[in-house]
Amino acid sequence: MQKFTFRAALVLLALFVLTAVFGPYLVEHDPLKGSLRARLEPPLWAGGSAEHLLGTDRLGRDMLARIVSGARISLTVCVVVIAIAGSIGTAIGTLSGYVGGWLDRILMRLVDLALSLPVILLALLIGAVSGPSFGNIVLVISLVLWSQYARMARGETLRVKNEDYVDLARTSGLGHVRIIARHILPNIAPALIVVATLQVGVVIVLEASLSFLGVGVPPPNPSWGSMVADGRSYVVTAWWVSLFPGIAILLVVMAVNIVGDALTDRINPALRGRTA
Amino acid sequence: MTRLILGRLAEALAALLLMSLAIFLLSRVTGDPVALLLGDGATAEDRDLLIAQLRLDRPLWEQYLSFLGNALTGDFGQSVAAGRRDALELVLDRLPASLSLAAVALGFTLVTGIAMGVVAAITRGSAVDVFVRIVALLGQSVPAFWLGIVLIYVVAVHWGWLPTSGYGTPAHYVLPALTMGTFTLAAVTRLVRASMLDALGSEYIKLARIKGLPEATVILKHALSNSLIPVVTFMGAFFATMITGAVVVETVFAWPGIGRLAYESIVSRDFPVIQTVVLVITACFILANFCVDMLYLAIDPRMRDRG
Amino acid sequence: MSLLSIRNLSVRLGRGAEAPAILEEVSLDVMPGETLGLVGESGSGKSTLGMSVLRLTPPRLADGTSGEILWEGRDILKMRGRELRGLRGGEISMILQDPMASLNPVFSIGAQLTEALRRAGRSDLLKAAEAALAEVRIPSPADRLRAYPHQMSGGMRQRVVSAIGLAQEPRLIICDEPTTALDATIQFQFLDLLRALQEAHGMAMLFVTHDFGVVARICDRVAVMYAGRIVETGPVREIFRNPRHPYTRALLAAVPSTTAAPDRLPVIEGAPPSIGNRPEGCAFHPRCPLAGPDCQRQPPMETLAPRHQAACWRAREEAVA
Repeated sequence: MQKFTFRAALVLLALFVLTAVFGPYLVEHDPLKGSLRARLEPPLWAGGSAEHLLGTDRLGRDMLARIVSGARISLTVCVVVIAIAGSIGTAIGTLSGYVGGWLDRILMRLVDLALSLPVILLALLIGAVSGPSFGNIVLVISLVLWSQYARMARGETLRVKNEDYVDLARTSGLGHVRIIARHILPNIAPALIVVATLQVGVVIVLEASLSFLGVGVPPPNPSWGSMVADGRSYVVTAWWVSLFPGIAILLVVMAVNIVGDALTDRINPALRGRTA
Repeated sequence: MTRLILGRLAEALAALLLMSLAIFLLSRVTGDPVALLLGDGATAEDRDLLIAQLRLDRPLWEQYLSFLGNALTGDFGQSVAAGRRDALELVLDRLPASLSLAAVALGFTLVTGIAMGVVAAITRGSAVDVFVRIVALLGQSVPAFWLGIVLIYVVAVHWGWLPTSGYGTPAHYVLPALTMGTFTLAAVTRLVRASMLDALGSEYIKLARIKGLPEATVILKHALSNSLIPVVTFMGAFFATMITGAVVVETVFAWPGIGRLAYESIVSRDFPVIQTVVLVITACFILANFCVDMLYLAIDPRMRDRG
Repeated sequence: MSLLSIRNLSVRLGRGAEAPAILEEVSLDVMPGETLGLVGESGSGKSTLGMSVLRLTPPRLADGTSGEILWEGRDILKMRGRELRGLRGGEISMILQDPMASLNPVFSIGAQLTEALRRAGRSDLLKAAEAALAEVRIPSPADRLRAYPHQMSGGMRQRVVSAIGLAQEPRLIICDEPTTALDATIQFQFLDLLRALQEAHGMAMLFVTHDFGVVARICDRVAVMYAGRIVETGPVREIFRNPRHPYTRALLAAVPSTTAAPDRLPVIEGAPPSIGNRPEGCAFHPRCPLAGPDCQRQPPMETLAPRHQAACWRAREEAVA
């Protein structure tokens, strides 16, 4: 049973990535251009036409095309944010753990401070001041997430630092950079991958929430979050506009969580259930 | 131990100061602070008055000091959108609604989450356990803003059981609290389940059984007391989630709290109010975390002897 | 008239006769007031035996348990909830191996002690707790009541665990390797304490260990286990002087002594079989210097002298040099 859910989740994730990468080339409609004649058409099975399988929104834009483009936006934000937050967080954490001493104390104070502030609010503030933009949302979500990498990287580095093969490397005269690159990083990588996987869901929901509030991905880009916001005012009559993007988010995040949990079990059972 | 408490207190104040610095810098560094703080309908006199008041002609650090000074006397400027009302007053007006909603959501989350986690752990492997885990997975994956909309549509509009939005009666609390608490509920359930499974397999539980204690005592007194510690540890993270939740949920349900105020002021570019909202929420957040730290010291005796 | 009588106890990893067996057809008696040692290597099943008496084995093993464990005539394996709970702590108690893990980290020593005392019906709880700690030779017992497990050393914690074990005045106490996790220097101190407590309270002890030195110090009788079966039992002196089972002989020969100083410590060739991989017949025969073709059949327990039994076709033969 568990194997089945894991495989199903992987398939869904693969579908997500493929849709994000290739989807926009394959759909026939332009997600950004709609025709007012075709506005608020219901999906195929609720009285609509085969022209727009999932219906259209208030500007007549095809829902399917927009959801597919939304996948691309979500994936892009995920990749970029995790790359940035992951690199910076890992660098700080590894350095902190490896060097130790006063540097460690200062950096960890920084991480504690970062964790003790509701960075979401800064996100809102930045969004309010400079308006929605891709750069903003990447910056803001990275601010929220980097400290998790730093903590994990430091913890793992401390664990690995005391292993025998590191001592061996040091006694054979290897320089610090070499030691970090060849011995430490590969061994802390699994735990960091787990963190990254579990964060994908968080990034997607965070990006969607910020876009929903209007401080995320700028319109008219079809972020799933802003699509839900769009459809909010006529959810009673045109429920499909808000429903489908939300279902997309739900399915992708569920799949991510299932895969992330399985990975956690494999790589670090001590973390089981503790990655709230 | 007093040193420990004072230390935490100092850290809390430092965090608050850091946030105020961040907010201050944001307002001064991005373009025209005067336009930000006065909005569009400002006259030349208003501008000059503000420049003098905030000492915008002085170096940055002096400005920060006067900013802090003003803050301490409760002067956060005036709302640009809501007709020149005092920003702090506006925010404090809406605070109770948010706090009451957060309290209800938190209470619901903790009680239900802990109960579900315990039940899942003791019936490990059964249908109940599987059901709980599926519900927890769904809860952690569903975006709050969407859940709120769906609930409004299904429960309030379609079935007509509860009001669609607004504030006033206990019935109004149900859907917003449910929406706000779902993610945290799922997280608490999983956490408690994992911790209980750990505890139930430990030696001290064996010893409790050896003593001949009734099973209920073994589970609820010995196992649960240890399992709640990780929940407290994660409280800080939960609070942070609830803040995002507050903004989103209050917006969706038209709840007259500071979350919705934050949203409205973003839309109307009412910077003095946003700034105030952020500071007030941060202060509440830091205070809440401080209380949780103290709670942690109270329940885990091992922490008291560490630094 | 034995206090505890184990008859043909088998514990398997699950229901069904084909499931791998951890314990096979174990029979044992413990007399009132005596200390019976249970010796064996890791994997011999000795800990499982200890845990089975109070039915503390994990559900999978509990499912695969068959045989009888008689306590004053009543079969423990058939007891229901309330009766079993009355037995636990009250008449039979246990001391586990790891003292740090045995104590609940969030409750004070006093709280955990009084919890046990309350079940014994004591009313003057604080006084009783203090007295209990004093009896296990913990200094300043009144202060210690408020202490937490992490604030104490391993030796002290183990003494607290003993105090908890004794609180309800059990007639049998099962000790599962209680000294293994302690420093070598305090192991003997603790053993002496156990012995003193046993004499003061008139309890019987079932002492599970892998260390013959401990057996020599504190046990009256000893049962040697190998691969889930008992291979030899007898009074300690008798077994040390005249071991009859080849495995027992090999074990004793491998114990370093301060008097004899051989050039090399004798070693038993090979390794004990893992659960599920046990050979036909006598489990030791692949490693046994006296093995013969008849060892493919499981030898029965044979009585060689009063109270001295061994399960070996060659038990009566003299030892090989």
